[in-house]
Amino acid sequence: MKVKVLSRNPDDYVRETKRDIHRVFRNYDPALHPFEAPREYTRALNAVKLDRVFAKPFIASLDGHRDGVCCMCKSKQKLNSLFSGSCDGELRQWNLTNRHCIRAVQAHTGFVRGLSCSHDGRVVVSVGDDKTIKYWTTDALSEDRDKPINTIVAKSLYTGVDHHWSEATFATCGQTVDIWNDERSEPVRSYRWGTDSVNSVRFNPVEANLCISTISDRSIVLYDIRAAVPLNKVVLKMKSNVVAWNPMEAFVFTAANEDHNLYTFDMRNLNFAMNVHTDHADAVLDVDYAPTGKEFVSGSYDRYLLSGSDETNVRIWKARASEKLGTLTPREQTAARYNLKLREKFAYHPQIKRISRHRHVPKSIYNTLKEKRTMKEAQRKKTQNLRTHSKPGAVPHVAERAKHIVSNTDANEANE
Amino acid sequence: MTKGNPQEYVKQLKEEVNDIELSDHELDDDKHTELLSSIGVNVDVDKKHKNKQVRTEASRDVSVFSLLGASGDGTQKKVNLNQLLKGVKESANVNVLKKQLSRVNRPQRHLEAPLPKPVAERLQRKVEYQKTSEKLAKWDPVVQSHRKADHISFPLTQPPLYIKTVDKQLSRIGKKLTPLEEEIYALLRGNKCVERPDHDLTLQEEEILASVSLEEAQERRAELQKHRALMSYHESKSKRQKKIKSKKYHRMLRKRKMKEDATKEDDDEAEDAVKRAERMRAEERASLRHRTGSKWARSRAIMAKHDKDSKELLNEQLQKHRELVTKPLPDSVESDDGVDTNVNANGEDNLYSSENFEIASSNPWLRTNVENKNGKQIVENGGDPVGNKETASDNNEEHKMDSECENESNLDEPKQKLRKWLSSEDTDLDVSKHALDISSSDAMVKFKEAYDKLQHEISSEKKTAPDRAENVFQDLKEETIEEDKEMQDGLNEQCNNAEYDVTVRSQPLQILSRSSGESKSMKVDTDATKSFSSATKVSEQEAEFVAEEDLEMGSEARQQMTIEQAFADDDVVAEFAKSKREIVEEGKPKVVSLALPGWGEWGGVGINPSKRKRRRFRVKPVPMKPRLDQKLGHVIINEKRDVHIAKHQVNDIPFPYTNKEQFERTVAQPIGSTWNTQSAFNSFVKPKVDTVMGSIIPPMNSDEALGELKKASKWKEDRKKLKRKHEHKNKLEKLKMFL
Repeated sequence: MKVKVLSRNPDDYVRETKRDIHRVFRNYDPALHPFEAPREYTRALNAVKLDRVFAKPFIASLDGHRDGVCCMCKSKQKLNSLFSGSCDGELRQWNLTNRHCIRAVQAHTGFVRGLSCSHDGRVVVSVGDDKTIKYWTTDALSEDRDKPINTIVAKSLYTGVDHHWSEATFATCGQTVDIWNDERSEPVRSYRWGTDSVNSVRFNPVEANLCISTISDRSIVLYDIRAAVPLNKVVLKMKSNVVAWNPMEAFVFTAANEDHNLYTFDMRNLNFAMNVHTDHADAVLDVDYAPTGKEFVSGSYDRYLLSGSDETNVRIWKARASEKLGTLTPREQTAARYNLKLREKFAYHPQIKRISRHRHVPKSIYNTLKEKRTMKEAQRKKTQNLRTHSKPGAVPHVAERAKHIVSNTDANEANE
Repeated sequence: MTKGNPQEYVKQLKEEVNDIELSDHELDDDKHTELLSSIGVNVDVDKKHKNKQVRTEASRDVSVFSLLGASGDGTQKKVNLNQLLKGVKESANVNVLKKQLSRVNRPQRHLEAPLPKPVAERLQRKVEYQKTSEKLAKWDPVVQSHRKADHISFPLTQPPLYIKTVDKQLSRIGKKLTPLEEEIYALLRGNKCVERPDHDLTLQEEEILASVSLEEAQERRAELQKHRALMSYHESKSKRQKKIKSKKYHRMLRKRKMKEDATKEDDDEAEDAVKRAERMRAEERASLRHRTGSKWARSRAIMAKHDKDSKELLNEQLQKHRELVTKPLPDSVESDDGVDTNVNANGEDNLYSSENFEIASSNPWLRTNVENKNGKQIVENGGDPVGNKETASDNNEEHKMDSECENESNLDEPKQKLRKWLSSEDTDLDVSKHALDISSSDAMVKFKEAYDKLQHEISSEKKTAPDRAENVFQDLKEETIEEDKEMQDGLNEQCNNAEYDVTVRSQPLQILSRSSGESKSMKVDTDATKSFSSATKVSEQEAEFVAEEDLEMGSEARQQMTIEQAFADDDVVAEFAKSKREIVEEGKPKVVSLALPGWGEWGGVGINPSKRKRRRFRVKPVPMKPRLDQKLGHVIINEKRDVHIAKHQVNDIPFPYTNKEQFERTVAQPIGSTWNTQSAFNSFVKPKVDTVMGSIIPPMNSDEALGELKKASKWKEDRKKLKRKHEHKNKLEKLKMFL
């Protein structure tokens, strides 16, 4: 008698070795896997909670400076090289891989105001309170590592320096914005618009001849180093501390402002900001873009992020607080990606929004932010009341993006 | 105008002869002079004064800005200073004046004063800014594409990956080859199998391609394939046939084979043989020569008791008779029909059975077949107690139809035959031809026409069949409603039952006449209208009332009434009440029947649980708490809202979405690997920005980024090249397969 039996090929389901994981057969029939949305929602909730649980952004602290760190710069050719200048005039080079200080030089008397690394990564330029510009080699093992390659004595105090992204040219700022060539001891060109001192200057990484500076008279000025005159200027309600260019979008820059906000502009249209980034509780001191151009980091008195510094050390922070460091197994990687997508997908659900936004901040900051929110709400209400009780059109709606801009030179000239 | 002083008036006219019209002011002057003259003042004196003031010009068109001299032909010419000087009398000063004028006439030598510095800079800035802004526009497409991209991987330009070929390796400058390398190179140098950089194929491959054409190889392969397939078909068929146990089938098969063989040998001979056999059979049947009736046979029968041989002889003769009498070759079509009609005891095939019967009555060999069939039908009807009544009625209707069909058959017999053939779909055209025993070509033509027509008819009939089925289904449903109104759950089951009945009796439905179905449905409709709510009844009555009144009233009143009627539906209060009633009804707990078919009684398709059982297992609803809005006529309070769930729900539609459905759909679509295949899941969870660990991400480079378009075109070209190469390879692969 023939007996019919189920027969299977063992190769399909038996592991080859003990170390292999068991093969899981899946049936994708939707009837077998009901409640997709609720289950995914629960997963998203768990993901966002775990994200907060594992949020440990601090990586390391680079100790060594004897005074507050004033300025920093990254090498453009090396990922693990960092330079920092302190308030006592010391310049330190760090190896970020093993978090060691490679060298320490007494560069200036007084503050080191600005540091900038050249496009080829060979030279670092520092400016200090002693009215000097000094060139340093980046090679920590060379013989003349303790001496500057070149020193230029300037007429006035410089507050910042930045290098061109593809040429041996750099710009300093102080009384004027000066463009220097590596081979000359005199500025090639200097720009001055108005009488106030210039706080910072930054070269555009994409359109390398453009640069931008912030001035104490609340304005942001654009330059083209090939032209004899500055290009344009926009005046905000309060002073901007630093401006950063987007390294992937040639015409976009973000300004860190004293009014606790950051403003992103398209340099072709300075009448209103592309975006206003709020939520700082105090003046924003510094801003820098991630090399992908998709995100930026801002530092303020209220929070220090990435590599900010106010005490005597430089700190390294994770950009994504709950990210696991080191190599990930493929399963870990997939899980992390899935969790991220789930968080994105359910980001609008109130519980998930609440958890993901939750931060334990110092009490003072918490209170300040609360106060700010109250003030903002009160202001909004007041304007609304004013609008309702006055002639229609008398109190116009002004977009938040245009509200903080006092003037743009084009408009001024039109008035003149 | 008064003519107090005509002379004066004439004078005035003369003075103002150049003016085209009199202004108001001048009119006033006239009045004034009149007034003066009436007083007695000498106007002439004043007039003289006035005359002094008036200036007349030679030219009419005088401009403040330029002096224009009139030339003879009426055109105007600019007047020069020199010309004007001609009129000046000679004096001591004239020469000096001339000198001065000549200096004025000379072209200017000095430059214009420069703009003030701020103004100049402003202008410069404006120009520079505009230039830069325009230049920056070249980044727009790149930036936009990056912003919109679902996935970007940084650094944007990753080093190209390529395979090092032998030639490239060898072209390294100033590098001496090791002996091993030399050996390898020597091997590869003249080899036909080595890939060449400027060619898609290697030498060997090209040779193969040149030697055999692809078409030929393909043909050969196709032929072989066909042959193989036929072999396998034949094999499987014979295997299947071998498994069939029916002796009859095998007998028939054998005979058919014999016939086929015979036809193969010689058609004419076979035909003759068949005819001969038929003739012999007919003769035998007529004479019954080999049966026991003959004198010889009778004598043999008597002798058989004693003589074994005679018995054998008799048997032999009987055997021969049987051989002669049995129909030599079974007619395949007739047998098919017999089977069909046996299987479908009722239905459409019955339609044609009467006609069949007629044929059968004339043909004694078919008689038994038909009788059998009828008997079977009767048995079936008897064995089906549920559908007995229906089948009986069906049978009545069938008879009606049959009579119609008979009429039809009288009119057009071949048509009927055709219909019969077409209804059994699996028959061949050849077979039908055979069944119709067409004798003449004329008949053949008619047949073709009829065939087309009928096929059309039958297809349309098939289409209408479902409609009828629906009608009857409705009827049955209504019937059940009337039968069992009191019980809700019972109703559903009845409906199911009715549905089942309909599916079972799908064949008789085709017979039901359309008109009867319609009338029934009409009846149902009227019933339904009767069972409407009282409110609608009232409204109907009103409508009737209005209609009656309409006739009596005047046109104005009628118009007013029509307006009232037009807005009669917009009763917001009633609508609200209705919607509330609906919501309340929906929220009420329902009677649940837990009766299961087949427990303690017979189960199966079409059998319902008994009434007793249904009553026994009916679960009465637990009375609910009174609704919060029970006593509030104008409010609906939603009691379904769950506070605990609401905490997790999104209140507003988030930014990128425009409507609720869109957002809900996105949320409902799962992205996890539980619901998606691995590849789909991977694509879903792919991060938007991807960075290569440990690599420097340089800022966007103008050459690279703006060269993306160029690169895209180059990429296209490369792809074309690759495609061509791929085609070549494919061709070669195919060829290899065929060879």
